[in-house]
Formats: sequence, structure tokens, C-alpha cells
Amino acid sequence: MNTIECRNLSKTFGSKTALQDFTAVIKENTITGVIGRNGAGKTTLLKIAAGFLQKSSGTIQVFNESPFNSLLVSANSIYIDEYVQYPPALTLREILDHNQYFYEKWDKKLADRLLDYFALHPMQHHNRLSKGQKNTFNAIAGLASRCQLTIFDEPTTGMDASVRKDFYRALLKDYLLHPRTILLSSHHLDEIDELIEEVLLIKNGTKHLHMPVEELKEYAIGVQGPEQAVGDWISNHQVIYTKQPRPGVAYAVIKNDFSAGDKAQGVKMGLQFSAVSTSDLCVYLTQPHKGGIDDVFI
Amino acid sequence: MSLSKITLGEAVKKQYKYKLFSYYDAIKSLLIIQLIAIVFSFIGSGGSSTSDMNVTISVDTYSSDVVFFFTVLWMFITAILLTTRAYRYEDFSFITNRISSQLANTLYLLTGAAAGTITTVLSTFLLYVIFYFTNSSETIFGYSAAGSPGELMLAAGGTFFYLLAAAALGYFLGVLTQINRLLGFFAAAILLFLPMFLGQFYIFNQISTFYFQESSLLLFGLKILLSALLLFCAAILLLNKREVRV
Amino acid sequence: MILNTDGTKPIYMQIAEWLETEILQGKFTPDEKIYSQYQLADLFTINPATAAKGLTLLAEEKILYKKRGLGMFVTQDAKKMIRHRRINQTLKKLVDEIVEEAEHLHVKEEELITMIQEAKRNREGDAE
Repeated sequence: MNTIECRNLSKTFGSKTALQDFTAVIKENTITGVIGRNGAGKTTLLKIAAGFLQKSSGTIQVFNESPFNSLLVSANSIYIDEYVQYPPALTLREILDHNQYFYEKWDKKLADRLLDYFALHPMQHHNRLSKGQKNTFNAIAGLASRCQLTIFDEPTTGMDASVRKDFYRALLKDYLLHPRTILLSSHHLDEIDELIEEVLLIKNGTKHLHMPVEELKEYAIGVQGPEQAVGDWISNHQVIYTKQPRPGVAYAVIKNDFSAGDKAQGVKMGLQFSAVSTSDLCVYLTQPHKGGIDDVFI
Repeated sequence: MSLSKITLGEAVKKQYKYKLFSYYDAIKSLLIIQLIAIVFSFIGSGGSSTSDMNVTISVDTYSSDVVFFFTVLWMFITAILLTTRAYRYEDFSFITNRISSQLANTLYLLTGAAAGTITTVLSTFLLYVIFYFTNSSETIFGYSAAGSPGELMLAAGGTFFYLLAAAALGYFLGVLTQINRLLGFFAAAILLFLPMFLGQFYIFNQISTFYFQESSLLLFGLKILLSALLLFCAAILLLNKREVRV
Repeated sequence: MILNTDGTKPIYMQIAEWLETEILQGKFTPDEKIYSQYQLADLFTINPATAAKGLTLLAEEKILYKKRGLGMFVTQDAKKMIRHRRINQTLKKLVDEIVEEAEHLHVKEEELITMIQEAKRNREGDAE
């Protein structure tokens, strides 16, 4: 069963296109990392799925319903980012109590324990928290709501490294006990790539890649060697990224679609092959220029 | 996978309860405004005196009109506030859709009008009590009639319907402003200010006669109730396609 | 074990290798139930699907077998197979690399053997 199905989904804000012909399926009970650069369309997609924004064209189904104005989607999904707003008059304790009142599957014990663990005082007010504390609190609400569709849009902004690590561990542990569909957006894939099952890479409002993260690890390979040899070798392969680490030496990232024989040939020509980390790969894949920032200085 | 089910009625109920609890700033401001108004009515009284040879009659009139006007203003502003972005976005931090959020707003404003009515009526009694202790005058007119059921019903009913009108108008104008700022200002100008200057125009006279020259409380209430219903429905429809957290 | 998370080696392979080492060290005997994907996920803070992939890899290599609804169990020949494969693949590759590097550096065969013997003696000394 699928939690989200998008077909040719498009969204425009005035003359600006945020999503274009976006087609993807999010399977039930998976953790999917939604990756992309700033302005790629991640937040727009997630907010449409949560029923906040209205699509411009195409279709989107969440739990087999159009999410905009759907009470079913609202009751079974939660969208967490740093801008979640709560009435300023309420204390953290009262906000959690209201969450419990609204969400059927709310886990009070978990919420209380997390609040305590992250040293958030129940009598504090949400608008007086620091950015990191606010995000920690929002994340607690997101976890404890146990919504079948839980959306975290850049949840760790402002959190310090140890809180980040604890949050991701808490997310995984709760997911193991209560499997649900989790969408986790981030600029930094390296932070979440062990946690997620699938990667959804968005570039310029369209789906660039959608595959299991373990497959992404073998999607591309790095080749380094004398400029001439690298140039010859990559000429009939799909090049993702190139750079010149030293004069006369070239490094290229290419799609991993060649045989062991090709590779042996390359080694004979003095080429070195290396794996490409998923986060580097995503940066290369979403770069508008093949040479990165260096292209500016040519 | 088991999905939670919720009906529109349940969602409205939950949103309403949550609003009652969370918006206590609105109730706080009502009480403060009425206290200020009571002070005003105590100071700003009209008076006249006549003297004939050796008898001097001095009449001082005190009225809780100020309290009433202040409360109507409070209702109007509270209704506008509920349509602002912060309030609308907060609803979506919990379970809701646009209809349930707005129906809960409507219920909240009805509750606010009821609360405003009760406190306004009670403030009249407060004024009497204050005069009783502070004024040396022997005769206080209207004193005996104040507590009579008929008088009370009339005061409460009238106040409630005026507050309801203020709430519906404020909410509608607020929604218009949310959709288009210019549109909101324009509509507010037409509805509130033009009648003052263009009172001689036939259409405005007709409207003002229709609502404010009505001598029967029942008919007046019915007219206001229907108009409020119309305004709230229009507001709900207008905001129903509105995106949140943009 | 701490996972190597620089992305150069798939996590599921690292999980499979770790399980193999556990079996080699005798922490699991034949027909004993091994960790579930959820236990592994919790242990290493990884997605359970990744952990499952590691288990599947070992099942494909007949080091583990599946009992429906009960989980994964260690096969009779698991230890033997792991040892055999590690000698033939991992160790042999390492030896090849040593020999290649020794050639680059013009280290004679006897010297190389002495070095290996020395390294072994040092380890035994450490162990005592």
C-alpha cells in the first residue's frame, strides 16, 4: 500500500514554478529522505502532502484522498519544521496536552520523557525558546503524535550535534516499535543516510532520483588519474562531475554502469577507482554546473 | 496500518475547546476594556440643574453606554484578529481543515458575544452599586426597574445582537483583508465610514432604517441573526481555498 | 563495532561482515537464532531495511537460513564457509597487495617472510 502518490504534480507561485510534473510514490512504513538544494521544491512538496498548500495541476493522493482540506489526512499526518506555530499563551505542557487531545495515537509517556531528557521546562512558552530548543520541542510533538504520515522538514536546524544525534536515534527507535511513513528532508544526506530506506532527490522542482539508499551507494564511482587517460576513459560514460585536484590530474564521477573488464582496462591505464559517498553524489547530481563553484572562476 | 477517523463535528468540537483555552488573552482584554469603560462612565456623566427661588434641582445622568460601545469595539477587533495569519496557521498545528477551523472561530465569537453581553449587563449593576456608595443624592431613577426580568431581557438581547453584528462584520472584513488588503480596506470604508458622510443617500438610509429603527427586539434579532449567518458563510467560503503556512 | 559511515562501503555489507565475525568468534553456534533486522537496526542505528539486506546477503551465501516467522538461523557449515571465503578472497587479496608493494620497494621474499613472522610474534607477545 502506498501512503503518497503524486502524478504530474505541479505547483506555481505566481510566475515561479516550485514543482513541475512531479511523479513519485511513497510506500507505506518507510523512512524516505527528501534531499535537494535550497529552493528545489522539497518544502512545497511536503506542504502539499500535508494539505497546507494547494496543487496547481496534476494529482496527489495521501491515504487515497486529496490532502487539501481532508480531515482524514490532517488526523493522520503531522508536519514539523522550525516554523510550527502554537498559541503564545500556552506553556509547553499545555501544548503537549492539546496535542494529546487532538491526536488519537499520542504517546504521553514518550512526550514527557523526551521533554525531560532534552531539558525543556514544561512551564516555558514556545515563543521564548531558542531556535534549537524550538525545533527540539517540535520534533518531540512530531514523534509522540505517532501519525501514520510524519513529515520532518529540516527538523534539526539549530540543534547542537548531540541533540541531533539523539533525535535521530529516538526517531529510529520509535519507528522500530511503531512503523509508519516518515518523510525527512535535509540538505545533509550524510546526517541521515543510515536512517533512511529511500532517497528522493529533487532538482528544480522535478524528481531527479528515487531509489533505496543502499543502491545509491553503488550508483556512481569516482575515477582519478592522468588527465588524458581519464578523459579517454570517461568519454563513453555518463559523467556526473569532474574536477582537477592537481595540474595534470583529473577526477571524474561517472555512472557505475560498466563491467569489471572495463574497470581492469582502466586500472592498466593508471586510473584509480573509488566509491563516492552518497552525500557527495547528491551534491554533484544537483549541481547546476558540472565543475561546481570552480566554473565561476574560469 | 490503522488510520484515525475524525468527523467534521468532532474536529470542530476539538478546535473550539482548544480555542476557548488558548485565546484567554481575548477574555482578559474584554475585562480590562470594560473596567476602563466603567471608569469613563463614572466620570463622564451629563448633568443639568435648574433652580427656582429657593429650590434647586440637580440631575446627573450616568449611563453604561460607554461600556456597551467599548464592548462592541472589542468584539469587532477580536473577530478581525481571528482571521489573521498567526491564528489561522496555529489551527493547522493540530487536526483541522479550513471549514472546521472557521466553524470553531464562529462558535468562539458567539461565545465571546455571550460573555460580552453578560459582563455588559452586569456592569450596569456595578455602576448602580458604585453610585449607591458614593453618591449623596437621595433618588436614583431607574434603580428599581434595572433588575426586572423584562428590562434585563431587553438589555441582554439588544447587547447580544449588536455584539453578534460586530463579530460577523469584523470577521467578514478580516477575511476580505486576508484575501486582499486593498479589498478589505475598501469594504471597511464603504461599510463603516461612508454612511456617516453620505447619510443622505437613499440606500444608506434604507439600510440604517432596516436595522436600527426596528422597534421589535425579536425582529431586530432575526435580521441580525440572518445577516450574521450570511456574513459568516461568505467568510467561510472565501477562506476555504486559502493556503496556510505559505 | 563502529560503522564506517563515510559512504565508501555499503552499510549492509558492513553488517554482514560484522555478523560473520561474530560467527567466526563462536558467538553464535550452528542452528542458533541470530539477531533480527530490528535488533541490528537498534544496535547500529540504521534503517531496518538496510539491516535486512545484510541478513539476506548472508542467507544467499548459505551462512544463514530462514525459518518462516521465526527469523534467521546460523547454518551448520557457516563458520567453515566464512573462513574459507575469507582466506580465498580477503586474505589472498591482502597478500597480493603486500607482494605488489614489496616488489615496488624491492623487498626480497625472505625479508618479507621475516617481517610477517615478526608481526606474528609481536601479536602473540601482546596477547600474553
